[in-house]
Amino acid sequence: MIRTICMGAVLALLGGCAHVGVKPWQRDSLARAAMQPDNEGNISGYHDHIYFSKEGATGGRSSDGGGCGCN
Amino acid sequence: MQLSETKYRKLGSIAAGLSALSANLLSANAAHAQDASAPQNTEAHLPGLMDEPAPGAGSVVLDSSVLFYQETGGRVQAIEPVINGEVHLDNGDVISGGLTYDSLTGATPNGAAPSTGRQTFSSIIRQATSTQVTSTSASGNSTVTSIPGTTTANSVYTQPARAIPLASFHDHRVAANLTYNWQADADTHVKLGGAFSVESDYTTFTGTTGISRDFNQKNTTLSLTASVEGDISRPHGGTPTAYENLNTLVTGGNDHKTVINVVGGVTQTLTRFWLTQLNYNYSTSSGYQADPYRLISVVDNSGAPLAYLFESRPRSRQRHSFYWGNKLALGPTVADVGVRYYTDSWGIKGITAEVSEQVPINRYLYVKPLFRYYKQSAANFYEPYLISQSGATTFSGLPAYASSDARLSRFSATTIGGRIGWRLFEDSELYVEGESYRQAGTHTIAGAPGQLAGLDFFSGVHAISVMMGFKIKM
Repeated sequence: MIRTICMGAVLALLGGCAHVGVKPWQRDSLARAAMQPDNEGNISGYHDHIYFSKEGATGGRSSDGGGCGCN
Repeated sequence: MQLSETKYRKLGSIAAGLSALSANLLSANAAHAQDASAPQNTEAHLPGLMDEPAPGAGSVVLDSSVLFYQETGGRVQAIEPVINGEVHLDNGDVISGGLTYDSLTGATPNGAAPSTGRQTFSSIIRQATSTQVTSTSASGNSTVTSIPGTTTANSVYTQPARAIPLASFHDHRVAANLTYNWQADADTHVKLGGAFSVESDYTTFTGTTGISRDFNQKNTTLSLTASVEGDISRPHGGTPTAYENLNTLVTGGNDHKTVINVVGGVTQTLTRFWLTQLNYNYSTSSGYQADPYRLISVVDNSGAPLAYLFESRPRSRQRHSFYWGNKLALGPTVADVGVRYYTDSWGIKGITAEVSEQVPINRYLYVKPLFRYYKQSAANFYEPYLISQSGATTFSGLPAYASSDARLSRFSATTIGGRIGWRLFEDSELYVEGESYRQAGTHTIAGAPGQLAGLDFFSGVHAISVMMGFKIKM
């Protein structure tokens, strides 16, 4: 069920892509470093390491691997 | 997807030029317009710390930091310095890489169930000489006594009654990564990267490749990334077989695991203030997936321990993650809101929700409170203990797989924290983040046999993390 909803959301988003968005001169706020999806730098690596070593679920944001340290 | 810094500055110049032209046309006093466009104090033109543009061509970004991680109750303590760098070449390509060092020490649950009496964990290990010695091992609290006439020894440690049994450890890790991101054309990026991580008993190599392409005037980005990971497990004392008794000499050598990971994603600009991202992540792993040091207790019908066996896990696992993330510019603030649904072939289902809000205090300072909630179901082979007949020394009829690892149990976790970022000087940021991570779960087991009834089985952690770093753009 959840998988179906997610796939539906993806298709709806893709279908609407041509009609949403901004013009190049409207990117003032979006161009800020703070608005980039992956701007957490080293902090996101720390979070990934802590949660990977303490929880059963992982992944979703990126595919980069890297070691265990799982005590 | 993002506007490069160069383009951002060009847009700024065009806007400034149009403003000046308008002023000249509309104003009867040309001298006034000239004054308005005159150079001003550099300090006044410095954008706020949160208004800094994303790094563009020709820039170099360095991010160095250290993590201090401490679990309460004398559990794991970690110190992790990291340095990462990005070089944005003039042609749009980006080279990024980093180094990590990790020092881990403390104690972690050994997997055995608690008991109303003191528990002694005795194993047989290899030793270089046959002389009889009694010593404390490098791993902490074990007493190692040679067995005369052999090159083996008894390693023994004892844990108090009614407590979650812990085993001491000390380890360190070195990791590095390097990625080349090639701008194939104005809308396409291709990346190729590699990484490795080495611990005293575990080594990982990862190769990654990916492609992303912008559409719809760069409002839509589709991306696909794939990685292959090879792991080598080299446990101290060898790799135990499934359900091997702790009190035997482990003879297994190294073992391996291979992981293939694929992430497909779409990032979409919805409005001037809203960026959304959807990712699907599939990974499949095959090979050794157990924890080579983790035990599981076999108890009799009174709950008394009969033996401690090494755990047993499947040798394959398939994971699916669905992630939805959002960046929202709400006035001068930036909110980060994300949810993730996870499911895997071991029966774990997890949901994660996280939200943070970056708020500028002034042009030099921001604060960023954050909250994360996580909840997972138990793996279908999670067992806090196994039950056998009284007096048994060999055990038949055990399930194919069983592990008491708390990471495979049903629990929830909350993270509460916040960050402060401070501009020391132009294009630099000093940041400090503090967090409390607390797991919550079931403490007692309904229907536990005999003496195990009412004992606290919960081995979840409460950890405090402090991360501090310095980021500079040149």
